[in-house]
Amino acid sequence: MDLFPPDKILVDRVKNGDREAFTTLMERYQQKVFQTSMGFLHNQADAEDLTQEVFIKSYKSMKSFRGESSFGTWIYRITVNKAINQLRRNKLRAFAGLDAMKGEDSAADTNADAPLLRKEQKEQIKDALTKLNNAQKKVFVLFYYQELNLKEVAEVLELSPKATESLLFRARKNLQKELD
Amino acid sequence: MTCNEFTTELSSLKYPSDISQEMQNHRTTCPQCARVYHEAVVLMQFISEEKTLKVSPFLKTHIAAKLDEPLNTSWYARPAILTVASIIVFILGIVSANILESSEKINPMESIASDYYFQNNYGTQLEEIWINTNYYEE
Repeated sequence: MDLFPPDKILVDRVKNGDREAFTTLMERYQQKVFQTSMGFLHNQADAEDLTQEVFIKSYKSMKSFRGESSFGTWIYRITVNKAINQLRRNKLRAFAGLDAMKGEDSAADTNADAPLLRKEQKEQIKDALTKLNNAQKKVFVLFYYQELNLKEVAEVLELSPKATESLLFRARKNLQKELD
Repeated sequence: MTCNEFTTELSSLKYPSDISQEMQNHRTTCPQCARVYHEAVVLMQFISEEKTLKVSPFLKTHIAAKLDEPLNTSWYARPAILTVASIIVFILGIVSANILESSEKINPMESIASDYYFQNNYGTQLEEIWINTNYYEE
C-alpha cells in the first residue's frame, strides 16, 4: 500500500466512502487551511472554527468535486469564500454590537504580555488588512499566508495572472497608505 | 530616486528586504521613506507571527465527530417553519384587523336602536326596524 498516495487517489477513495482517506487529506491540508483562515480572521479560535467548517463542507461536497483543478486549489477556494462570508457576518455582528467583548479577547489572546505599542501596532495592521477590498484581501492572503505563487493564486481565484499581480500591487500600496 | 518611485517599487517587491541598492541609498537619506520601509517590515513580521501559530491537534477529532453526527433535519426545516409561521401570523393580523375595523364601524342609529332593545323595551323593536330600514334605504 502506498504510504503517500496522491490527492487524486485519496479523493477517489473518499468518494467511495473511505473516511480514512479523508483523514489523510485533512492531515495534509489542515495547517494550510488554518493559516489562510488566520490571514482573514486574525483570531486563532475563529480560524479553527473556519477550518472545521471548510473540511466539513469539503467532505459533504466531495461528490461534486470533478477534479478539474487540484484538491488543494479546490479547498483553498472553499476557504477563501467561507472566510469572506465569515467576515461579512463579523461586520454585521460588530454593527449590532455583539463583538465588542470578543474584540478585546482576540487582541489579548495571542500575546498577553506584549507591550502596549506592539499591541497597538498589531491592531493597526489588522485594521489596515480589514480595509482592503475583498479581491485584494484574497490575493494578499493567498500570496503571503499561503505562500502560493501568482499563477497558483490566479488559479484559486479564477483570475488572470496579470489581474492577480495588479491586485497584489494595489493591496500592498493600500496597506502602505493605511499604515503610514 | 524620488519618494514616489521608492514607495511604488517597494509595493512591487515581495518582501521589503528585497530592496535594491538604489532604494537602500534613498532610504538612508529620506526619513519619510525609511518610515514607510519600517512599516512594511513590521507588516511582514506580523504575518510571519500569525503563520507560526499551529492548528489545534484536536481539530481532526472534532471534525471526525462532526462528520459522524446524524443530519439534524430540524435545522433544514427551520427556515420553512419560520416562513410558514410568518405567513400565518401575517394573515391572522389582517383578519383580526378587519374584524376590529368592522366592529368599530357601528352606525349611530344602530346603537340607539340597540340601546332600546337591551332595555327590554320590546315595544321599540318595531321602531328599531323602522329606523334601520329607513337608514339603509337612504
